[in-house]
Amino acid sequence: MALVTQADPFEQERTYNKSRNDVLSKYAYFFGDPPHPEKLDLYTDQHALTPHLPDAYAGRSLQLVETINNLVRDAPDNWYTTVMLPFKRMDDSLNVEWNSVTFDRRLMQRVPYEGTSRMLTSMKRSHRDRMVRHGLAMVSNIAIRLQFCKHSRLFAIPF
Amino acid sequence: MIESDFFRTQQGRDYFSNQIKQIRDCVVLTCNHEVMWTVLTSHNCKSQPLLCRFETASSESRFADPCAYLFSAFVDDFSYDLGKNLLPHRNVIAAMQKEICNFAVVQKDGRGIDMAVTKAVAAMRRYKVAPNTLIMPSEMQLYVTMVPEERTYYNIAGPAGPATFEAGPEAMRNGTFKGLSIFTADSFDNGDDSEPTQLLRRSTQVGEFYRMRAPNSWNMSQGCPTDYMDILVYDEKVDRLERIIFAEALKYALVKRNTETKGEPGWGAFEGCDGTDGAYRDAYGGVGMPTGTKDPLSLGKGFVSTGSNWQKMLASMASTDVMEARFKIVNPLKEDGSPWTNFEAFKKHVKEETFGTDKFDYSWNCFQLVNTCVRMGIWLPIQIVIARPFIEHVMYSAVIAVAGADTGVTLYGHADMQISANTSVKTIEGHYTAHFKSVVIKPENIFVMRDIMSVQYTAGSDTRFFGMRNINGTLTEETVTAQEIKVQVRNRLMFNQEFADAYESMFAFLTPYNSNEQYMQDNAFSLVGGSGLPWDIGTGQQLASNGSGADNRLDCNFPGGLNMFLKYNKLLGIGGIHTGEDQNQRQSQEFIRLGAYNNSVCLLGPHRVLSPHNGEGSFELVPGQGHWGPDAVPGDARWRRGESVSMKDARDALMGVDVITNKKYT
Repeated sequence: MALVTQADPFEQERTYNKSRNDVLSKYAYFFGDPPHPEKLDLYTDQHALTPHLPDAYAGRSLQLVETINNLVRDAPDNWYTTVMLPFKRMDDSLNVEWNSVTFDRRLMQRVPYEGTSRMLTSMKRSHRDRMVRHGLAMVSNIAIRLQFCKHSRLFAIPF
Repeated sequence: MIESDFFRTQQGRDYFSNQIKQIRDCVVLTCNHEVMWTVLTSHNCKSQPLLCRFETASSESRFADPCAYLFSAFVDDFSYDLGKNLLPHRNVIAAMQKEICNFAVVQKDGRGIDMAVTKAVAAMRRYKVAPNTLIMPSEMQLYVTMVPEERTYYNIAGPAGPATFEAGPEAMRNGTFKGLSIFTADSFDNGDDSEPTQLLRRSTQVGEFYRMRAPNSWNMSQGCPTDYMDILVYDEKVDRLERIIFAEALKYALVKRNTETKGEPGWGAFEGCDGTDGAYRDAYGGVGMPTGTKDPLSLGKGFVSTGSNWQKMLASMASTDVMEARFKIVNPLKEDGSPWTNFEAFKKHVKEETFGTDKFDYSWNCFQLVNTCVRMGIWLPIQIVIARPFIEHVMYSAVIAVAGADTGVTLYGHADMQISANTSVKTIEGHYTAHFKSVVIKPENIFVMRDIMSVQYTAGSDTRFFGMRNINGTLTEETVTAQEIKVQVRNRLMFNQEFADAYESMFAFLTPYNSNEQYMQDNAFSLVGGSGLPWDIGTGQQLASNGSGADNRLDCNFPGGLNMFLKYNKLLGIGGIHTGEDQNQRQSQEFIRLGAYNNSVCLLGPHRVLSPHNGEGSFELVPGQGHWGPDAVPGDARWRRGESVSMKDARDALMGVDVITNKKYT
């Protein structure tokens, strides 16, 4: 069972000494299963008041990768990569290579008896290309200025 | 924010979801850009001429059909013709025919898009390709469905006309055109600080030239028309016909060197010329010059010795009464600035002391008498060729293709999203990377219809000469300097005057005018001589005047042949127009190029010359053979800059063509 399902997303979180469930309830919805679940237990003992990204979630997020990939693949009204040059998944190599062989078409020539005919000609060419790495980054602002008041929790949302 | 309750709310989750969708949109946008870029540059794959080939899949290939037979050629007709050596070498217009026909064809002809698409489909059949897709910019769809009267007027298109207009471009997007599914090529956003990128949009320069020359025949009793060299040329910047006066063009043809005096032989470009016969080598870096170089216009010894020219000039002066009346109007001046008062003395001066044997010495004073003679209607065997090589517009193109994996694919490989915390600024960062690449394996399945719609005028089509001073400068007849022209050409090509949008457009070249075909300029020429184009523009017409080897060069198509090219190139450095360009890209006519691509090929453009038979002030059209069609009249600027108006409507809004033809300009 995925760890996400074990968390209650609407459970009232604790303001300090976050539990394992606190972490999961906050982050699993967005990032899915933590890539390093073994670090969740350590986090429980840290007694941190303002935890940022738990160590368990640092690293690759398979859920986001799959989500974005599926969104890209199923993007609406995108004739470029569905009709013109459709997507082709290729995970096992960055290089692509193909050959083309051309067979010339020629008019036949008259050949005298016991004469030799002209040889057919053909040409083989190899083409090679390489996938290019593209990237971009997103940032979620967790720089919340904590202002303690008598109710102990007051956040200024920086929008 | 995750610490806060914000991300526990629905708004917070929507916010995060939108961030993910934003990444999706960026990836999709990049992939789309990759597809269009690959489609438009697929001819770089340069496959073989019309041959039969089949594909075999290598171990790494994931998409090639190992049994697919196809007939390979080139990505477009141009490449095909080039590869098969089918471009005519002796006629530049014929070699450029497809380019000229397709240029702005959407607007030049109400059914131009139909013809262009049909021709393209037919051309692709040469490779056994049956296209199914037409990719167009949305602006082109709007124009095609809502502007041409051939498509929208009931009396021409029938009931389908108003229906097409009502349906508009939306119907076209969702339908077909000539059996091709239509897709819209959108612009790609580059952020707020730069304009969007439309890959089907590019700047294109074309060139035209116009001729000031004496008429071949005229009313002998009346002499040549006064100012018979004057012409009317269309000025796109102000959208009207402008009269180019011979005296003005002569100023810019007689460019001054740094230090020279009016009375000395060999003014400006005619350095070393004194009207005598013989070769002159020193001034041109030792380049071998043929006999006659010191009298390139044949106005010295050659003028008198060439009986027909001499007789024509004398015939033009035969009507003494007419000439004397003009003499009083023109009121010519002597070299010392005093007026000529005696007509007979003036005639004698012209006949014997200026154009007599060994008298014309190419000094400034001699050329001023040339100007006086032209104003009086005295026939002279010279011409001024006015070149406008940098007529620049922003143009739209379209693509016809076979869509699908048979043409190519967009490979999508590894993707990754790394999450990390930046504790110093309390943010969570996600870094998404993906590998993708569009590949076209059958470039013959793609045909780019280049520059079929004009959407914006940039520069180069007004009637200002290079060398013209700005409004604060002082311009006198002998102050057009070569240095000024060089600076202004550089400013124009590098767009260094954007704050004022003050770019000049025209060169003037003084050349001989006789029966030698290389002086006739009926076709095309290159300013640079060896222009690097795949067709042989330098030897497109006749070569040497004397048939010797010295003239047998690529530069011979320049007005006046090799002689005049060397003279003007030494003075103006016009050979530097292509400096810094990628020679290979220019030769292969790449659709998407590195940097600017300056045009140096000029085709005969439409202009109007004084008619020697229709009375004073009557002009007749010399039809153009270039990209913009046979005529250019007021109103053309509207459709050339992409307004939603047809060529006919734009012209009719100002004046009828018949009115233009018969109008007298004084």
